[in-house]
Amino acid sequence: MADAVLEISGLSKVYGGGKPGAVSTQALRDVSLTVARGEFMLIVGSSGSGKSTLLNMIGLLDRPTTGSIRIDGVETASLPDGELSSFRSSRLGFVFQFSNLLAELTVIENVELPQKILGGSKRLPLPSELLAAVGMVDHMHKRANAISGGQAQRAAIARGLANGPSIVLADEPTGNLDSKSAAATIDLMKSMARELAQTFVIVTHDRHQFGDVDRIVSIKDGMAHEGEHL
Amino acid sequence: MRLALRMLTSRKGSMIGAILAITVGILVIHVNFVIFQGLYDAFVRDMKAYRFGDIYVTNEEDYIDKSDALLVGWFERIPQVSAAAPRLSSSASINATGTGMRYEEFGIPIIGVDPRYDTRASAMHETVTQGQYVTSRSSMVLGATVARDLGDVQVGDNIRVKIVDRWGIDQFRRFSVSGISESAGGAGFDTSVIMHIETLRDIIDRGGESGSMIVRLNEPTAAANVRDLFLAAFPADDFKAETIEESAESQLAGFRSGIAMINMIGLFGMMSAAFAIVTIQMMIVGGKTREIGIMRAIGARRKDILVIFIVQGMLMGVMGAAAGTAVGLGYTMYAKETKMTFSGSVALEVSYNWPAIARTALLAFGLSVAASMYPSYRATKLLPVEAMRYG
Ligand SMILES: Nc1ncnc2c1ncn2[C@@H]1O[C@H](COP(=O)(O)OP(=O)(O)OP(=O)(O)O)[C@@H](O)[C@H]1O
Ligand SMILES: [Mg+2]
Repeated sequence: MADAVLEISGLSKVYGGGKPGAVSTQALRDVSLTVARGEFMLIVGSSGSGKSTLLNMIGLLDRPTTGSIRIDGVETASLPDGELSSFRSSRLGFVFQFSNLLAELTVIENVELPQKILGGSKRLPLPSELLAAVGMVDHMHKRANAISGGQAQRAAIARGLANGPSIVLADEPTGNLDSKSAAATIDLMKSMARELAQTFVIVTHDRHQFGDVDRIVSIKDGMAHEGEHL
Repeated sequence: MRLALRMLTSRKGSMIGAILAITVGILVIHVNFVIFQGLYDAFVRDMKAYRFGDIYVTNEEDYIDKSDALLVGWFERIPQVSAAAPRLSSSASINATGTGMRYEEFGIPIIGVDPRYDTRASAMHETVTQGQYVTSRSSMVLGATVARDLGDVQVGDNIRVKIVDRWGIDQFRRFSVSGISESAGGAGFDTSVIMHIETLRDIIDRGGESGSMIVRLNEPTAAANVRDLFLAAFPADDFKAETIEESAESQLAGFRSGIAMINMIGLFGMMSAAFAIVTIQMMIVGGKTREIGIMRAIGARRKDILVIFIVQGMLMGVMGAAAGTAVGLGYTMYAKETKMTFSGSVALEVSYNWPAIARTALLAFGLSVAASMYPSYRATKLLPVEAMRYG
C-alpha cells in the first residue's frame, strides 16, 4: 500500500508466559493488518477477544511477543524504551475510556501537555483552537476534575490531536458515557477525522453507535478478520 | 515543574506533616544550639574571663618558679597580648564567729592574685558585688556561698584562716573581709576565697612562686601563635601552655558529648521526616498510577517521571528546610535579644553559627531528596499500559 500509516505483520501476544508453570494466555495470534493514512477504522469483538491488547501493541504501550509493527514506515519492535516514548510523543494520540485527564491540571494545561513533552520541533495546532473545535473553550480554565464525563472525553480528543499524531488510538472512548454524550463524542471524532484527514483506530464493543465508518476489523480469539463478524 | 507542585498539594495534609517534621527536626537542632552551645560558650566565656584567660600557663608538674614580673613583662611585650597575671592556689579551713555562733568550713579553695596585674588580665574583680576587691595583704574576698555558710559573714568582718604550708604545718592568720564575690554559673568564685598572692606565698612558704599565669589577648585569634612563641622562648622550663579552647575542651568534654547527643535527637527527627516523605511519595505514586500511565502514554519518558517526583521531594525539602531554619533563626534572635539565661542564672552566649545553620538546612534538604529517590524510581517502573486500566 502506497501510504500506509500502520503495517502489522505476524503479531502475537502471550500474557504470563514468562514464568514457568504460570498460566499463559495467548491474547493475539498472528495478526497482520495494514491501515492507510486518513482511515477511520473500528476494531470490534466480544469481551476478552484481544481488542485492547491489539490497541496497546499499536500504541507502543506494551511489547508484542512476536511480530512487527511499523508506524510511518519505522519498525518499532526493536526500539528501546526511551525511543518508544518519543515515538509516542511525536506520532501517536490517545483517547482512553476512563477520565483521561490529569486532575491536577486545567483543561487547557492537559491539552498543552503533549506539546510540552514533545518540545517545539513540529508545527502544532494551538491548544485553544483545538478546544474551540471540540466545543470546550468555555471550560478550558477549569480544573480537569470539575467537568462532566462527556466534556472530559471531548477535551481528551483535543489532547489526542495536540501533538499532530499519525494515528489517534481510542479504547472504548464512549464506554463510560450515556448514549447522548456518546453520539456527540463519535460525531466529534468523525468530523475531526474528516477535517484533518486524521487516522483513527477505535476499539469498541458497540459498533452500531458509530454508523458509517471507513473500515471495520473484527477480533475473535486473538485473530483478526476483515469486516464485521458477529 | 508545576505538575509536581499540583500533585503535592492534592496530598496537602501529609505533605504539611512531612514539612512540619523537617521543620521540627531543624528547630530542635537550633534550640539545642542556642541553649546548650550557648551554655557551653557562656562557660567558656566565664572560664576565660575568670580562670584561664586566652592562654593558661602552668608548669608540667610543679610550681612556676620564674619571677612573675619577668613572665608578665615577657608577655606584655607581645603586641597581641593585653595583660598577664600570676595566680597561686591552695585550700583553707575558715573559722568565723557570727551571731554568737562559731562556724567552721573546711577545704575551701583559695586563689591568690596580684591585684595590680589581675584586674587587667581577668574579670575576677568584677564578680565582687559587695565591698571591694583584694585591697591589702591582710584582707580577702569571700565567695558568696562561703560567706553564707560561715553564718552570713559581712564585709568588714574578721575571720580566722588555717592553711597547711608546703611542709605540712598548719598556719593560722586573721583576715578582714574586704568584699563578697558572686556570679551566675559555675565558673565564678562563689565557693572560693581570694587573697593577695604575696600573702599566700608567704603562708605556704613559696616565695616568688606561682601556680599559673593567665594571659589575656587583645587578639584572641592569635592565641595559638602566642602560646607557641612562649613555649619556644622558654624551652627548658617544663612550661605547659593551653589556649582557652584547649582548656575548655578538657574541662567541658562531657558537655560537648551532651550537645552531640541532643543534636542526634534533631537528626532522628529529620530522619523520621525522611520516612514520612518516603511514605507520602509512595502514597502519591500508588494513587497516581493511572496519571503516570497517561503521561507515559502521551510520551513522557521515565526520566520525566523521575524528575516530577524528585522535584516533589525537593519542594518538600526546600519548604521544610526554609521553615525550620526560619523558625530556628527566629528563636535564636529572640534568645539573643532577650539576653536569655539558663534557668535564670548564666546568661547564654548566643551566636549565629552560619556554617552549621547552612549545614543543617542542606542536610534536611538532602535527606528529603534522598527520601524521594526510591518512590521516584518506583514511579518510573510503572508501565504506560496502566493508562488503559479501569479507574
Ligand atoms: N495484563 C494481562 N495479563 C494477563 N492476561 C491479560 C492481560 N491483559 C489482558 N489479558 C487477557 O488477554 C485476553 C484479551 O484481553 P483484552 O483486554 O485484549 O480483551 P478485550 O477484547 O479488550 O476485552 P474487553 O472488551 O472486555 O475490554 C483476555 O483473555 C485477558 O484476560
Ligand atoms: Mg478492552
